[in-house]
Amino acid sequence: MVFFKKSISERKGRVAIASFAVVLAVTAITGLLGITVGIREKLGTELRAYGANIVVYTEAGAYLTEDFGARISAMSNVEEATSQLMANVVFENMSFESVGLDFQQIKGRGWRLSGNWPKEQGEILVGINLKSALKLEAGKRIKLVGQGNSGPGKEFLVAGFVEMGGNEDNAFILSLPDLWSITGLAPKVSAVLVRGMPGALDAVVANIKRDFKDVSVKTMRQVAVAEDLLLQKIQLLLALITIVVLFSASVSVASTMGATVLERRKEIGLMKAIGATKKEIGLFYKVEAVFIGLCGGIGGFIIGFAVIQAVSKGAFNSFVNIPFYIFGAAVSIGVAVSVFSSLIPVRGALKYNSAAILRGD
Amino acid sequence: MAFIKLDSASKIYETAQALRGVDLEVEQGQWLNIVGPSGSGKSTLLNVIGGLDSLSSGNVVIDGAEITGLSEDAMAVFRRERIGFVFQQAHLIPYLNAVENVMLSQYFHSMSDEDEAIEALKRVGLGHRLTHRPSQLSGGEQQRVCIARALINSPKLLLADEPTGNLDRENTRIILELLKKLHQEEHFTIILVTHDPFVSQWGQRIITMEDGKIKCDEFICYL
Amino acid sequence: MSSSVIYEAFWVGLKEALKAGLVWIVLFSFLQVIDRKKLSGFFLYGILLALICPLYVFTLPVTPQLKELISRSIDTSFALFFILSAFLLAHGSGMNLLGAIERAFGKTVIAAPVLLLLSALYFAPDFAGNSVFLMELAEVKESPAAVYISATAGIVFGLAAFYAARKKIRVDFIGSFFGLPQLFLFIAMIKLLGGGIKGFSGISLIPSVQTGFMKFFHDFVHQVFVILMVPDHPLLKTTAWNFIGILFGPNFSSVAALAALLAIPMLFLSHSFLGPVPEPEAETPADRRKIKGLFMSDRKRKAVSVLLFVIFIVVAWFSESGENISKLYIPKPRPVVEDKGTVMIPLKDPTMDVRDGALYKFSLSYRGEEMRILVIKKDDGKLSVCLDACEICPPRGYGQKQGFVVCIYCNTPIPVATLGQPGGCNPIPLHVLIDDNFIRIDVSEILQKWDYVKSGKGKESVK
Ligand SMILES: Nc1ncnc2c1ncn2[C@@H]1O[C@H](COP(=O)(O)OP(=O)(O)OP(=O)(O)O)[C@@H](O)[C@H]1O
Ligand SMILES: [Mg+2]
Repeated sequence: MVFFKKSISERKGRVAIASFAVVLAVTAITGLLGITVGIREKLGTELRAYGANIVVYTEAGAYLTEDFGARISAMSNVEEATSQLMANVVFENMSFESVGLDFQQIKGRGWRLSGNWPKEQGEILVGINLKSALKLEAGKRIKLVGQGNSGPGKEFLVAGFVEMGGNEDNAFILSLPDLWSITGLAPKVSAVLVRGMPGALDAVVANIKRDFKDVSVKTMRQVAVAEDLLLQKIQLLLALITIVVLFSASVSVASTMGATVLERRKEIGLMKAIGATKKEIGLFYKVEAVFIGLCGGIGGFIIGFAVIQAVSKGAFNSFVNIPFYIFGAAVSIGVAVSVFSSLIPVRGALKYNSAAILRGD
Repeated sequence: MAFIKLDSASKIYETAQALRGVDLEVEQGQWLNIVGPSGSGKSTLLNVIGGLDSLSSGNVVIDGAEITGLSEDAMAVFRRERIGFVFQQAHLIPYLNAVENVMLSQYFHSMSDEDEAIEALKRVGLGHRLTHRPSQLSGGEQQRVCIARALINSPKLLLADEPTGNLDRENTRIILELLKKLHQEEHFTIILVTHDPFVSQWGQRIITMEDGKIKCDEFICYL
Repeated sequence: MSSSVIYEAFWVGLKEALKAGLVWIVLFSFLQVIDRKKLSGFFLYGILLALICPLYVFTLPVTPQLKELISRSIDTSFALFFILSAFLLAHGSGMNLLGAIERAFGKTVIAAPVLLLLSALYFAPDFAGNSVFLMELAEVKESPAAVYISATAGIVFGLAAFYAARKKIRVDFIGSFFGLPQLFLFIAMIKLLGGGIKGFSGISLIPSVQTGFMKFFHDFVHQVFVILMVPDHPLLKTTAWNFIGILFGPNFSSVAALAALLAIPMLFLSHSFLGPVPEPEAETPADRRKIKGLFMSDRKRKAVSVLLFVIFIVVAWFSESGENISKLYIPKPRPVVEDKGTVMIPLKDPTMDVRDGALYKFSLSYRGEEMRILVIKKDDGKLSVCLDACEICPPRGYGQKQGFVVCIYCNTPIPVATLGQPGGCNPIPLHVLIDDNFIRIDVSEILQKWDYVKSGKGKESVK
């Protein structure tokens, strides 16, 4: 064992370089796997729990107006329609997502509440994750300012905390008029969530499309499929990147190993002379390769993990769960790449004729 | 039957013929010195006997086993059990200390045993240099580590290619005294290549090579 | 869709063939090394015997009870092999448990039928399970014959692969890794990895050992209390039961399951790596080292499969208990039946109490359709009864996670407190009558809403 340890520590520099290449590859792979399983969880969960089966919205950056909600709920086969506004607000110089909606209309739906349901304007709910992060308590008064709005902002009373497992857990939830008043967006809304009669969804969608121009209407199932497609595209892109990175990592490990092998020609010749078989000499390199793979794999997983969390924080404003097995997968891929790409140089090394190498001159 | 038997052994390189039909028999326990001018094929002969190099024609039998047709790995296994090597240059692994260098040989043979390795180094008079790295040892000390390493697996045959070539007279004497002592204790066969007449007197037999052939074969008195 | 059915059938056949081939190769290598090669034929006869099982299963109707029975037998057959190997490992790590058995195994008259029986027991449940799976596949398929043909193709393909690879396999090398206990352990492990019906994913080991433990502790403590005739004292109820309750909890028994599965392999490993090495007699120190080295490397080789098993168990435990058990709890549906247009679900029976806060699922087979219902108690004490499906997603059902039920398809968490809301990814609520003993549901209510689940999307449209 001590032989392997010293043999590796003798070549710290090279091992570090090769490990770094593996780190890059595993980072990419962790990113790919993490996004596949982790971020998938995030997509669209928030809308699904409201009980809507149709969503009406416009292109990004544009808004609907509030009367859409009222007009849609008056249509046939529509049980109800709620308007929602998504906007960013500033609290203590930090930016947070916020949702504006009609508290009375959605009372109790899809929410797990600690504290009270807001009764009047000026009362708000806060996502459970922000409770400890911002040290908030029910009954406390806090000041929120609309982001990108020069207005002075307003004080609100924290009525309670909600837990939904979705994005709302990281957001402030205000009544629609309150959010309008601090953002100055009145009477705009981001989306209208519609609950149509089951079985008559297609008709409702057709009606909305007919009555309102320039809006997008999707059933929730279409949204799910679209998200699936988007995810697939991201995955494809990442897969391509991963292949490229994997390839360059292999090349890098192979050339590092090649250089090591050249340096160690004398050693190899000597080992042969004292009776080592090719397999046994190869073991020295395999141990080194596994070591590189392990270091690179673990390092890459840690970095990849951080990257996914950063991406997720940026895109969804919350963290993702990365299952345990991804760690195993990442590390084994690291080891596999490293061992595989050191095969060729090591094969070459074992061909040296030891008599020629050890010749006494 | 002789312990080592070479039968019209020839070795042809692309540029030169190093051995031209060498016939040689060596008895078990004999100390044989090989001398001869540079390029006469001494090292080649030694390497062929140790299986580090293969013959172009002819064959070699050691201890009843014909090694000519063995694969490289089979030869390695044969070597680790029966043959020890000492070279002109020490060829110690630079990042391992003296004990570990000896232990490496044990490791390839079966398993390493530190106590036994330390004991072997004490026998060659290096009890005070156990954890020194090769770069911290003198040439003579390095060569003694090599002898300890070569003999650690109780080989029946020790092959030495100019083991004292880089040493001064004093160190040469130490090495030879040591070899003599060990040879008398353990009765292994020694084949030693040298061009130093002083060294060639330490043994029981001298063969002189010239141009890939044995020119002269004489038995001498063991000094 | 139909091509995926054929692919699945092919895969099932391939898997079973490869599994049998793998086990056979290892067993054959082992028998070769211990010089009992002739016995390996009996292993093949065992497989043939196991093949009777699917032939019989093909004549049966597929019911939840049949499936339950089969999955039980798969677990049991794993347990059998595991216990056998544990027993032998314990023997190997110093306690001499079986001199007599060893001698008996030396006799072909005893060894051959034992091997035949074990082989049959090993494969029968898996074959049966996969037959059921094939039968179900054939039912959703327009031409059932294609399913069986592709399954057969898979088997032929797998066997051919093994036959082709056979010449390359270094039998003595493989055999040197196995002693008898390692052999059993390896075979148990293959079962675990490839034994589940359908795919490789269904590793049911930890949960089934765990539920076994939960039940064992529960019954054991109950029995003790009954024997001691401890009265239902209020003090006992609150403090003692809270404490004892830990034993019934999922965390404790999942740790216990891990410990039970690891104890003996660990004992063996420590024996292998740390146990005393005999100091052999030899002429030279080098020769002694040689003998010692051979002994130690043999011991290490034999520890490899045990070590693999330990790693495998730990990984399975972390991924299963870490992910599935503490996070997403998915109970098995209990079958219920319809009587005169009504389905009656008992609120309580000796094996369950739907008001204990856990998620319960029930399955109703009706006119060839299998529909699931979920029941859970809300914080306010009321029972919520819904279909185990929502309007949006393919009906994969829900699992339980802390205060939520979570859609298995899309991962949307639904707070238990809000169950009963319609729409979105909420479970579709059912109109029910609840009295002191039963939940009563009109079959038509279930049928109509399940129809909507199916017609709304079904598996095809969202893949
Ligand atoms: N690998 C090789 N390729 C080509 N020619 C070689 C090779 N090794 C040795 N020779 C040639 O074979 C001949 C014998 O070489 P060898 O090394 O055996 O001589 P030597 O007697 O040991 O000489 P010295 O006393 O200088 O060590 C020389 O002419 C040498 O040039
Ligand atoms: Mg020379």
